[in-house]
Amino acid sequence: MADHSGVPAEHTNAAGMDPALGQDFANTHPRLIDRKMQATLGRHLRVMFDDVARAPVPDKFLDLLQNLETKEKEQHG
Amino acid sequence: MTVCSPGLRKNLLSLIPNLRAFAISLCGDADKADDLVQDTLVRAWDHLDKFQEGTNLRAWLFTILRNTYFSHYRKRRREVEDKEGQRAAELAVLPEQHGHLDLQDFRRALATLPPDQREALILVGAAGFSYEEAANVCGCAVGTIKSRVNRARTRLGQVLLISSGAEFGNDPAVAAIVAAGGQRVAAHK
Repeated sequence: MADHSGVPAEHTNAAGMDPALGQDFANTHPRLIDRKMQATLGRHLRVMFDDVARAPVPDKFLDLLQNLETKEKEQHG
Repeated sequence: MTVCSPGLRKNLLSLIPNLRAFAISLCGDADKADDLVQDTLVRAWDHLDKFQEGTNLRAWLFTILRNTYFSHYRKRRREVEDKEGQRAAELAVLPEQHGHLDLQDFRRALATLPPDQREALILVGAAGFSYEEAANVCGCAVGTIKSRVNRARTRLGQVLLISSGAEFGNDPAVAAIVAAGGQRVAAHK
């Protein structure tokens, strides 16, 4: 299928895929489908990660670091 | 043991949100994830003298977190892997009523991946590490990371195609790819 990779994007890419083309399209343009799926996958991964990464840090973590620091100061004068 | 410099402490604080995001993506459970982050912070603190300031603190902390995760969870890995087929089957009858896949569904799909593939995909696809950085974090070859990421993408793609009917499943072209078991998708990486 590598021999289809030279197909110009504008002939294939309008709405991503034309359902009417069905199996034929799948046979000839796997890379487009792959790209669309991977883009969606990548988006989901980043949204999932950022959903937590953008949340405020719970106080317990700040307390933990504070405690570690306090303990260290006590040990080392 | 060296006393943590104010700059380093500030950087450590600023990376907690990232650590939490990594932890929950890795273990799929918010409470466990926070325990994992706490463990990681304590270990990091104890070994701060081994960290070279100016090098990548984020990668260093991620390494500690994943090592902690895999040493705590290694015992359970076999059990989890044995359940994978069953869990994938459960996912296959999931949310066709949704117009899009919600985050909880996505996390469940991610949880069906083998842990090493899941880890590689999160590092590269979600946390934005390069393949080289991810390989350093995981202590393996760059090629191994690439292969894990590719396998994870292919597999997760299949699960998502099956479970999110409205997003992909109505498309005959995509359905044909799924029917082919993702072989073609994998072959064209």
